[in-house]
Amino acid sequence: MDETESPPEPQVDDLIVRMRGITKRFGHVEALRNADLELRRGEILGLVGDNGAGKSTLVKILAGIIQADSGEIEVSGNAVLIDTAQSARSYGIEMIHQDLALFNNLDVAANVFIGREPSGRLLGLLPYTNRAVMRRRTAQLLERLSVDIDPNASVGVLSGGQRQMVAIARAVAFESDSKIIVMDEPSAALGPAEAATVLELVRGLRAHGTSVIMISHRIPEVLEVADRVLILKAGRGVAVLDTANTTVEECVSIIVSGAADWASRTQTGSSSSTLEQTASVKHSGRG
Amino acid sequence: MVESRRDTTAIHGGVRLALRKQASSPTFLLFVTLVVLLGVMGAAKSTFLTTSNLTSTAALSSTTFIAAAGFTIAASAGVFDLSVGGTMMLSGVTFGTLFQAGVPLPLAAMGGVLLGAGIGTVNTFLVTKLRINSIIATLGVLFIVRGIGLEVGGRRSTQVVSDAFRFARRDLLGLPVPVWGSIVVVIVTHYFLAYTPIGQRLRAVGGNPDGAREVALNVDRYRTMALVVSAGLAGLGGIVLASIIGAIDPQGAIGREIVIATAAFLGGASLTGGRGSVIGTLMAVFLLASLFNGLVQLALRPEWIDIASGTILVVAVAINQRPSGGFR
Repeated sequence: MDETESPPEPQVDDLIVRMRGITKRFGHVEALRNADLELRRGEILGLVGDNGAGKSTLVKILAGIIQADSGEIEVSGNAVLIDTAQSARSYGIEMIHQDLALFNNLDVAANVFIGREPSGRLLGLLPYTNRAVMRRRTAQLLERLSVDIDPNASVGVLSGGQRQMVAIARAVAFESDSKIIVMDEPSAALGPAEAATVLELVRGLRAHGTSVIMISHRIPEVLEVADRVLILKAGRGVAVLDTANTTVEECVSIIVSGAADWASRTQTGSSSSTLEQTASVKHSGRG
Repeated sequence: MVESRRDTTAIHGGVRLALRKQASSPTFLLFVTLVVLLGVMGAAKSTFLTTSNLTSTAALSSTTFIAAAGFTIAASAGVFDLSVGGTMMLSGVTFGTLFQAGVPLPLAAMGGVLLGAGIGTVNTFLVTKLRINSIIATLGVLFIVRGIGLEVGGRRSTQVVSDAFRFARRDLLGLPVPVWGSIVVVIVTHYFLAYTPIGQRLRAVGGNPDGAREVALNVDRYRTMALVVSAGLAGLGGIVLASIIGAIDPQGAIGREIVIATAAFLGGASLTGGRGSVIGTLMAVFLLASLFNGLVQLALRPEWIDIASGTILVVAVAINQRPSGGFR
């Protein structure tokens, strides 16, 4: 593992994001119950939990896609109100959605720059999209990410992995502004080789000083790339673990039975309730 | 009928085979179809391929095109404005009524366009606030506007005997004024849709509204813009139409929304949103007008015009639905 020097009690300054007491209901379903999340500056925080544990809801609240019923959000120690994706962006929060939010009817460069198009003025008057700049900067960006995609290609014809790369390129295109990147299942739809490339990219973001929250169902992958992991169960955070000091089995055990059982159960997660978790355990062997 | 359909398909098939690489855009296919149609009609009737006939066809179809350009912009943003026919009528009635009341021509025209934009604002409220599907909302508004026109203007049309009011009957530099109107509208709207950041965002909003929200685009704001532009252009088309007719006509432009929608879909727009080409729409409007004109000159019964228009629409949309079909 890389430099995971983790002091037991982080200074408040170390936290770039602090979400406290977040509650969200959808009709009768309580998606989040008093959930907390702390993201340290320059770390990769894994966010795991069973389906319906509230992972996506929590990060969508941070990204301004949905609004919490109650709770507080601080960015760099200041209380903030995030009610739209636009306001999240203004605090440097950029999200890569599970559905990728790509536009099949536009080309790669337009997808990367949508909403933030470089523009010029024709005859000093008429606004126009500066496609030359857009293409060149997209090409540079894709090259930096070591991805071979034509900026002029229509996004509709790209493979799953390529689409993921375009979404990542968009999230990091304005890296100087985006200090926090949230990824919802970045590797879920990818094959092993493509998934490895994505993880490499995530490490690269941390090396640039970006703080990352990564949702994933693949526990071994989270332990490999993240510094810490936050485990949600039934809408609440039940454990925060340093990845250096935990195992796939321990994580799965907490996901399945919650933190109360976690202390008393040091065995492996033999009672996995879903196929998905069983597969994760098998896949990993022992860390 | 079966025979002629097979022929059309064969022609399309041959063109597609020969030009597979270049023929990826519906606009190009439309251009080929238009050329073929003009050629066939010209061969069948010597009066068809004459400058005067083509010019008058262009002039008569220009009001449809001006409104259809707005429809295409709205369709690109994923909203469909079926109220355009009613808006054309009521804007024309407003224009004529204001002019008759002594309002100067430019102000009367501006009043007509503003009325159009007002109808667009109503559409916007229904679509973005009440969350009614745009096709249903604008269909309702179409009937309401038609009813208002008949209530206010009566059933009979009123002549406006004035050369100033009938400005659209004049020529300018050898072309009818409405044709110049179409030229300006096609340049401005195509530039807007294809080359400006806002045009690109409209297409993004139309192609994937959920995704647009996720990347911080204000979907309702862009749809508002699209619907107001659509209604404003319908208003402009209505003013030119009133000027060509030279009358206040509350029964005018009936069924025009169907021709406009047909042209936009022929030109490459899609019911799923995010696609649409003003240039494609322009060619489609001219294609439909030429077809109508040609069949009338060949003294065919009107039923045949409907059959031919419907067939062309279905074939064109089937071709456009290929994965590679579409704008850009």
